[in-house]
Amino acid sequence: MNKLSLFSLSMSFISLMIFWIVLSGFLDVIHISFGVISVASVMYVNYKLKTHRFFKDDMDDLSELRFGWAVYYFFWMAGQIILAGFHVLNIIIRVKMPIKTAIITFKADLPSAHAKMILGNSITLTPGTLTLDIQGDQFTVHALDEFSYKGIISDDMPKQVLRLFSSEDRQVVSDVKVTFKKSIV
Amino acid sequence: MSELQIILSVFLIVSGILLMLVGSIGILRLPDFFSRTHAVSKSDTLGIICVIFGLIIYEGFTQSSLKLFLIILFIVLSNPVGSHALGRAALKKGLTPFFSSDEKEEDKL
Repeated sequence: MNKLSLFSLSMSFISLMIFWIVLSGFLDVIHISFGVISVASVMYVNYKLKTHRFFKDDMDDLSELRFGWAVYYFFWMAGQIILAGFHVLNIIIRVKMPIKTAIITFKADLPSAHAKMILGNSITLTPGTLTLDIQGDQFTVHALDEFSYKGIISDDMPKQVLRLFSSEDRQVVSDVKVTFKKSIV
Repeated sequence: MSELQIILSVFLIVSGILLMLVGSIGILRLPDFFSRTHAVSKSDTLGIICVIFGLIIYEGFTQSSLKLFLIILFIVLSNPVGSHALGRAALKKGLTPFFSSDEKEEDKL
């Protein structure tokens, strides 16, 4: 158990309050005070969950995240989703259906559990690839065809994730293994 | 409401519906569980995002469009978690993925 910082508490209060105002739409005193009461009770109920550490390198706020790159990453990710989405649609509506399913395992050298979470979610969000498992540094990914996993093994997407957290530029992905056959799994 | 707004929103909503249709065809056509997960979760997400984005443009900048934007945000956050949980459960249970290379070799024999 560890204490939450004042910054983290006020950030979650502000974001929950914005959520309340967007949903209610009323800006008079009585509705805002109802909002403050509900936000305070939600934060009280969630306090134990937020102080619990699921991983050793967990962090309780986003102080390590570089927000300028986060905005860039959001738009880059949206572009990737649309590009890969049309690729998958193209595969499905083709008569021959040229899929070449593969399982890729690789090690990713990322600074924290959150960075791994972001990488795993980004892989799953991109059409054509699906994160099956993350054990420590070891990622297991299912891919529909070669175009889908090209961006991962060429270290393109993992480097973008690393740039969210630190300014160093190094190889993130190592020990890439691509499996096409049943016998090895 | 301007003409351009209506044209853009109709275009986005129709293309979103078409994307969802192709995603549903993908469920029927693809060979095994893992590749079907690709079709369902991905094409459908893109389709739903397109439809809701079209509604946002139709609505203009109001409170409803902010709520619709929140829906997009929650879909984008929850969808990969859901499909990852399904895929991981299947892998842990010992479901072997279908490899299209295997099938081609069987054809040769």
